[in-house]
Amino acid sequence: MSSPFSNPKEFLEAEGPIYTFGNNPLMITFLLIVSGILFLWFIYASYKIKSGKPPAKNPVALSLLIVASAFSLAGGVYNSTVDKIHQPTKRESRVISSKQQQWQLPITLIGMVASGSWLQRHSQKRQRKRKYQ
Amino acid sequence: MNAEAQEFLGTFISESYYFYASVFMLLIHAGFLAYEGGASRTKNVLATMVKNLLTLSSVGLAFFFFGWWVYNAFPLFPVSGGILGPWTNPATNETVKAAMAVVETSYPWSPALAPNTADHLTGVFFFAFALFAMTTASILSGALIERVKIGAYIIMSIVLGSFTWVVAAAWGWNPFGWFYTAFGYHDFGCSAVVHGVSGFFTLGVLLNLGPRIGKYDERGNPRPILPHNLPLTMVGLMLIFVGFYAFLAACLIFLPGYTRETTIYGTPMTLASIGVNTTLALAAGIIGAYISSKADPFFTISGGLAGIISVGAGMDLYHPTVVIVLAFFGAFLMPKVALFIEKLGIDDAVGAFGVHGFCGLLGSLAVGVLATGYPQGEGVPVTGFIGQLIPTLICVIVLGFIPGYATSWLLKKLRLLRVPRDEEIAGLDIADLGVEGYPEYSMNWATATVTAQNRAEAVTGRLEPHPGMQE
Repeated sequence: MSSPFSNPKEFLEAEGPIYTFGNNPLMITFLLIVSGILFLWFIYASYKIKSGKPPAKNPVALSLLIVASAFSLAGGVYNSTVDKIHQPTKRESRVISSKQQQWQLPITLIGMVASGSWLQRHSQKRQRKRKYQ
Repeated sequence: MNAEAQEFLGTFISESYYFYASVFMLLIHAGFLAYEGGASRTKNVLATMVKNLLTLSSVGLAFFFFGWWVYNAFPLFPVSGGILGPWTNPATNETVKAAMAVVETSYPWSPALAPNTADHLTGVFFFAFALFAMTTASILSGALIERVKIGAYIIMSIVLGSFTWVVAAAWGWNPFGWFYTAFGYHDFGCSAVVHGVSGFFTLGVLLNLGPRIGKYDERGNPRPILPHNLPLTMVGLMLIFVGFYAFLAACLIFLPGYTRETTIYGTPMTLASIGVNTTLALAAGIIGAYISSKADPFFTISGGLAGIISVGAGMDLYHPTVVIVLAFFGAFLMPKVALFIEKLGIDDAVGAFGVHGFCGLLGSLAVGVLATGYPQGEGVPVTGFIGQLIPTLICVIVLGFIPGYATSWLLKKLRLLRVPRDEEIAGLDIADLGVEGYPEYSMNWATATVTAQNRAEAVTGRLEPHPGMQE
């Protein structure tokens, strides 16, 4: 029940709040958060939507994507080169690979996720475009 | 100030309040005029606007002849009594006695409607309700533009604006109405009673009227017919928004001797809540449609209306956060509904079904979910989903869709519904009114070319491309 009243007299003679979920501040808080998210979505969408055309690529996001992918690629190339030049002992090898993984993994992941999402969005846009043509 | 002057002041405040609210409501019609005129093609702009203007006459007079009486005479029929009129004995019971006091002031020959120093209020309520009725009929007019006969539109506007909507209002919006007394129905801002009825009535008419020539290609795929003046359409909707504030304000009841404002159901409310919630619904509706339609200007501005209609029924009860979420949701879905209707082969020129039919239905049902459990009076059921669902379905199907379909079907069978093909191709400005909306356009090379093309195709009988149509 979203009514804060239990009988007609209480409601018809109410002095003060009569609004829905008046007795449930948690619900109001939840709805306020949802409203805030919708508002943020609106601001985000206002940058992305260009009257039905594919959205312009965000230069910052695109730069981050290129940098992350370049790092990921460079890291891979560097590792393979280092492995060939320097053949460490088994113990050294374990230490080096764990250290490499510590800094390399997040960048690789960012690169993969960013590339994946960009490609997915790109293909969706293409499909949508094809549908309307 | 003596007691007599104080008493008169109360009467004058009520009289002034409803009078000026109704005057501002007239802006809805200025808005519809611009909205529909802008949405039509150049060859139909004047006919569209004149048709809209005639709504004031057809509904205004019909509402005086019988509409105002229907509102007061039908609340008990057929569940808890008959249709009230000169044949009714007021001594039947207390309810009939109370209702008859109002019925007797609503006959066209009643002294209460004439200049009368003993009654300041019946006339202003008539004025407010007549404006409600015209608004309801105007919803129909936009959807039918560019191919309906003016006479057919006038008949349908009278059926909708002065009868079926009024019966819905008598059942769902009158304090004696059985939707309210039997189901606890709550529809403060007339989501189903006005918008649901008119949206579904329009749908019924559109099925018989058929699409405009050239709206669908040979494979049945819809082709956009663009408004000839989108900025005018947008200004029109802004005027409608202004009128909507007045419309909702006029839904408030404050009478001489009252110590608080109430809804038509006698429940407490404030004018302030209308101010806050209408503003938020407008704002959230616009962004919902903006995102959903990918910034389509026509849908974006219609989203404001969709947002207000989606929250209209419970606007007196909803917390502002409920309003934001619900208005966004309604307006977000509205363009999708409009496109779905278009894909079904129904040519709704201004998306009236999506905005009014769908959002009216949603707004009325939402009270049963988001404002459940409100007690409304002794012996009246509390608000709830079933109490909203059944009256809403009666509004949209029994008083909306079926009368709309039946009236237009009858007119179609009598060949009185749609303009002849050659008139539609030439444009209704010339065919109906004998003048062009923009005669100076004849100096323009592109328009001259298109006009010549249209004439040539009218002769050969081909489907015409027209100004603004995308190939």
